[in-house]
Amino acid sequence: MMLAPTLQKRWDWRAAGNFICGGSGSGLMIMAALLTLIGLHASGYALLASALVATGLGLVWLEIGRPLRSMNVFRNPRRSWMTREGLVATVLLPLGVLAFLSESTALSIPLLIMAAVAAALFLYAQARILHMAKGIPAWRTDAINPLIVSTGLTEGMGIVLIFAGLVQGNVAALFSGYGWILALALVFLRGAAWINYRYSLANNAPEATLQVLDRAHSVIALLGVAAPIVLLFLGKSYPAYQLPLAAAAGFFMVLCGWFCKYQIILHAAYSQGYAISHTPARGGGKPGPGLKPGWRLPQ
Amino acid sequence: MTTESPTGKTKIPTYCYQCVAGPDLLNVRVEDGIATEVQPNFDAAAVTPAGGKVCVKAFGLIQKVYNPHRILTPMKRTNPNKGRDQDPKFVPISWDEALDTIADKVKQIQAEGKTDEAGYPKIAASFGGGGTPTYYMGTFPAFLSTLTPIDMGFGSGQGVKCYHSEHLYGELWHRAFIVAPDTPKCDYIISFGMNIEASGGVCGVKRHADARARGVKRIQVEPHLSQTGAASAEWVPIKPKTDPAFMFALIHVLLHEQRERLDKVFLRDRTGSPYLVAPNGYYLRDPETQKPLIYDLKSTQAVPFDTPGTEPALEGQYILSGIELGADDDRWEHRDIKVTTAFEKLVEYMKPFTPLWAGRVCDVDHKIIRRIALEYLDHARVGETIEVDGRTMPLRPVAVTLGKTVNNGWGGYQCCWARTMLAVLVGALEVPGGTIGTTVRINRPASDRNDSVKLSEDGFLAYPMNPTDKENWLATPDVRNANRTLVPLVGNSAWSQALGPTHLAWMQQEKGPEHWPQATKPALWFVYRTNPAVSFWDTEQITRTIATFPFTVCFAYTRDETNHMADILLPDRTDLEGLQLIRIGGTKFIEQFWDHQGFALRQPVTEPLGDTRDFTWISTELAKRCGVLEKYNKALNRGAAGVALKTDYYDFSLDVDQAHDVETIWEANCRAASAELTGGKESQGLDYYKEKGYRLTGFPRIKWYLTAKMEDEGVRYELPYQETLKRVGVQLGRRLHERGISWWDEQLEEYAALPEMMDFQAIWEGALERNFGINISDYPFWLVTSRSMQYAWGGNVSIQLIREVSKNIGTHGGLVMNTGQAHKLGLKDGDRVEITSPLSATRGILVTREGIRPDTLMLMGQFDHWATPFAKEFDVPSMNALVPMLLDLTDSSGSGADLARVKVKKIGETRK
Amino acid sequence: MTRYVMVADINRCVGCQTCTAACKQTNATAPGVQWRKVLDFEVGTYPNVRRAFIPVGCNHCLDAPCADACPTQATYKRPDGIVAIDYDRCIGCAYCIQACPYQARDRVDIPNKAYGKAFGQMKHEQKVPHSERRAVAQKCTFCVERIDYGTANGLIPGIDPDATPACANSCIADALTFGDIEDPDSNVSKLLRTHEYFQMHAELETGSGFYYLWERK
Repeated sequence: MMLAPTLQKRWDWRAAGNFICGGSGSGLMIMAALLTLIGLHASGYALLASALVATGLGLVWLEIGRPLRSMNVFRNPRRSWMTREGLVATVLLPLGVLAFLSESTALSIPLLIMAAVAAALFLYAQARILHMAKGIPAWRTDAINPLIVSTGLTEGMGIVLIFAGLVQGNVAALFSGYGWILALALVFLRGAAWINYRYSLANNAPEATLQVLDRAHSVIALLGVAAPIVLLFLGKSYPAYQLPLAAAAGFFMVLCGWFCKYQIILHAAYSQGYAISHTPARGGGKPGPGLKPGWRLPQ
Repeated sequence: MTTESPTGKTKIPTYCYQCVAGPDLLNVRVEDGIATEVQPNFDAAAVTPAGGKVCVKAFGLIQKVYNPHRILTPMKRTNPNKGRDQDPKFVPISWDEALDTIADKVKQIQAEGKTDEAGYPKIAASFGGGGTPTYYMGTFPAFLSTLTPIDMGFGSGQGVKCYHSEHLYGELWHRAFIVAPDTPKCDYIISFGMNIEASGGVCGVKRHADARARGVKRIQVEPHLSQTGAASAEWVPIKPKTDPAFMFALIHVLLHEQRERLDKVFLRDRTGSPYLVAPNGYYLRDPETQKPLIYDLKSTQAVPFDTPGTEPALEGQYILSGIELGADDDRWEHRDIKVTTAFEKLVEYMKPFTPLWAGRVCDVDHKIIRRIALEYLDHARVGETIEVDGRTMPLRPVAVTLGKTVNNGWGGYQCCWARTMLAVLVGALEVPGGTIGTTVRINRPASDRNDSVKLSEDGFLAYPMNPTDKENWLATPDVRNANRTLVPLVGNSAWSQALGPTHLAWMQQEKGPEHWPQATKPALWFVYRTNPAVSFWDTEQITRTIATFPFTVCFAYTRDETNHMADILLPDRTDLEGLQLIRIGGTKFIEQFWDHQGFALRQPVTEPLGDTRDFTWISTELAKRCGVLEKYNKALNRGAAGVALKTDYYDFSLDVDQAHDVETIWEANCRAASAELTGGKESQGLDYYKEKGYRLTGFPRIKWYLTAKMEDEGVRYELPYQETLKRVGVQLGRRLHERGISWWDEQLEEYAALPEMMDFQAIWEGALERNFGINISDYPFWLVTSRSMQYAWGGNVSIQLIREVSKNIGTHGGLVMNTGQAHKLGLKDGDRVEITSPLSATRGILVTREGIRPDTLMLMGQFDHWATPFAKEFDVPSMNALVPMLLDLTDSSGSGADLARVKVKKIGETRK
Repeated sequence: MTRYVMVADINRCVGCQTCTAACKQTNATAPGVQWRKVLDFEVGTYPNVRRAFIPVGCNHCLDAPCADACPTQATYKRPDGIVAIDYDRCIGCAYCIQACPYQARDRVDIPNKAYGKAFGQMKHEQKVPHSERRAVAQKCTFCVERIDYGTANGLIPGIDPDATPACANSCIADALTFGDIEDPDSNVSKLLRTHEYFQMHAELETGSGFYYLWERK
């Protein structure tokens, strides 16, 4: 029998899918609003963002044991971040759709901004869902919050970059204006959040979790940080290739985020395990030291 | 709010006696006729030693009833070929057909002669260990008693793998078939491999937990850290089979460093210590009375041991005259020869066995050995007394306990003797707090061991030794394991055949020894609650042998490895479906020390499944069909079902001419039981017991100890010096040699007056090298086994619940190896490995643990099933396949030990 | 005020799993699901090794992370300290499983079949199917129906068997003791006064209601 932390099996790819789709979707909504504010035509992304968030929630619905009772999810707004995520989604989704459907910018921009605010709350709620999962050391660290938020935003930006070519002028505008700097900044920020996250767990997570994160690190550093930065700088330098370079950079920004969350939710998600702080004095014997199996250092 | 208790509306009392540490009284919760839950019986909390609690095994009984793998109708074999590789092709038959087939066989045997050409009984019967099957077989013993002689010597582990030497020597020395500490009063226990926390049942666990809470210090000496080691104050990892050296060193320290602190009064008055030993090794005796002599310090002369008003000398050598009586008619007359007290002999004898010497033998720091000896003495409180039931007795809160493989096989004699001597030296034998016996199975009466205390001519506890003199020695064995012929100590009680040497019965089936009757196969073999094809050694050979038996009748719960070879399968009702009254309380196996005694009823708690039948119904039907009904009924009236139905003060006897139904038989037994308990005043029957579950009366605690009886009768313990055994050994040797038999010579050497120290590991190594032509260094590991509390004795391998909960014990999964050792060999936890002994090989999963010696491996329990449903999927190996049955590894008491030498090879990757 | 807690004296516990079996039977839990079980710890390296048996299960935390996580309030804290689950409200999202640092929670989606699909349900499994527990969160309830029955009928939980969890009732070593920690005269309060104790994962500040006695004071 395992005393050491064991990998959680209860949330599978469908739950990970919610954090992937929900994070990317809410990040995309926020990016769409931001880019619209700096003059790009981005309200079209609102539909995709809503669709992604809805897909994520749909995946969760497929995973829960009693889907017919799913409306009960709204019953603990006072304490549960899962309830809050659900509540925000009920605002986020219609706003996103409305923003997309609105013909006039006068209507679509405020709707988009409102949707983005909801998306920000949604993204934060997703981060806090993991944060409040006290049973999983890889999730419960404070550093999970900036990581989930920053990667959601970065993924959103990545999706913007991938599809930037669909609207005439958006690619050029991204590289001439603040767009590419924002993208660069997000990549850096997420990189920093990742390092911060790993640092926070260094002596504070099961050995098995740390091994998974160690293995993930090179992928994230190379494909999630180095590759987008190089591609974005190349795009700045070679305008003729801006469209494919932006798409490629966006692809890596998204891919890395998904990879990161998939790793954290499915592969690094070892439980707390069991621990004792003392072995007992048996009869006339003496007590002895405790044990925390599967952890590098005693806590 | 609910008004009905959530623990259930209907609770039916019954008992669990699946293992020798029982019985546990329990309740079964029943909902609409379906048993759903086993619960403690808190109504009995005040009268049972463990507060009405129930062992983990009992919780498997619900699944045992409803298990889909059960056999639910009688079956007969249609494939005449038997073997592991043969499909028996069992087909359902009616009870009539099944019972008539058996009855025809019995009648044919009765008509043609009950014994065969070799003189062996044609009918044999094998039951599971410890006598527990009798608590489930209803009136079957009464039926069997009509068919005698029956060969009960085909063992399934009992007789060789049990606490064998302890049973025999324990009964010889202090009426202790099993030896226990007086745990409630004990302060210091040295436990050599005794896994009491796994084998002691509810009573054992509760008593030791209470003792720990009091602060008892238990030192666990064993090669691997068992559950008992875990719960002990200290674990001392010792090399397998070197325990005698450790114990001898403890005695050495007491005798040669602390002699003045020993209990000299006890040694002088209650033991043979002052008896004088003459030059040939027998006692110096009074020529007139032939009584052994002691040297009286008051009158400064030798006088018979029982002369009143003497002060016997414990130590010293004296020049005296007298006679010496040896084996058979050997007699020496001595004039002015040097004689030595038995105690002085002991002192001299133990001189070389220093802690330093033992430390090297046992691979234990000698300082630890000396410290333990001194701690033992410090805790013994020599001189103190305590009052029990109004009688002042010595209080000696120290005990030594022995576990399997320590107290059986070569070295078992040495360990049992040394353990008893450790008690004797500080006066801690059979006194409050000390080392005490539980019950008797060789001496009689079995109901109360105090009543078995009888004075021998030499002043010791008289013992029913099988005769070895010319006239009375049983030269031709009457059963296939030759117990009475070869093992004088095993006696001739109802248990003696099963105490074996039971492997001898199996071994001879392949090849018998010289000058010995040709072993025959039993014409009819009954099997109940036992599975020798899995639980004995060399399981491959046993399985082959079983396949050659012509007609085997198995009472069958599910298919298993033994009944795979059966001709008839009879499905009896399980534990929770049958009806039976049994005797409980008093003092029983392991640590069952009660303040009460009486009876408990096992009753159906639910409708029986399928076409299963109550064992008593089966027995009565067989008696009827075999034409022995009258004898059967008479046996019942005599008390073959547990209670005599007629005594001077009551009569509930059954009409002997007619077949009685199950309820009638137990009604009579219940009424007799009530009458027995109330001195004939009351006679409540079955209804009373069905409602209450049990009926008890007091059992005085003074009876836990032999002391009062020994003092009152003026009886001495025959320790330290074994004159009787020495004489018996010489006589047995002469008898065997007169028949040209020399294959028992090594066993004969064991009959020494003071047990000989040997290199016991070398006995195993040498035997394996000689018999298998191997180089022992190719088999670097000692393989040992350990008790599983969840499984031991239970016959419950096909119960899913038991499997599930037992997996929580870290050592249950496979071959346990020291973590560091595994690392050195490039092995990892979870690797698939092959374990090879000189005999055979088996496979399993490697489990790495820190709590085991690097030179030792451990396989828990007895698995390796290939026919039992559910269990055959376990993939857990058993040492039984790896241990050979060898005469060289059989000691004089007829036992061996669960010990093998093996090598390990990785054959597959780590499981995920 | 009342707060029910469990005290495990790990000097007494021998790892026999009687509590595990009793709990499984009383609560008719699914194969492989153990609301109460006893872990087998080995500490140190040969030859300085200790082995300890540690009963575990729901800690009925004061600050229960599962209740904080639960989006439906199906998991809730009772005034008497018991963390309970309203099976009819639970959606089976399993978030509480992730929130529990004691791995005390499970979700089982299929009916109990101890011998597997091929054999269907045994009679007793059919008799106590607990279908309300299918596909939702489940864990040790401290046999809450016994507590409620006991308090309604003047029994003392932890003393009277009909008002005491099955594990504590069954424990053959008397290692498990159940009772009200707020009552200074209760059995558990006395044990905690006379022994050194620890709570598992105390650093997570869950306010665990499961105490391990490891030495007499």
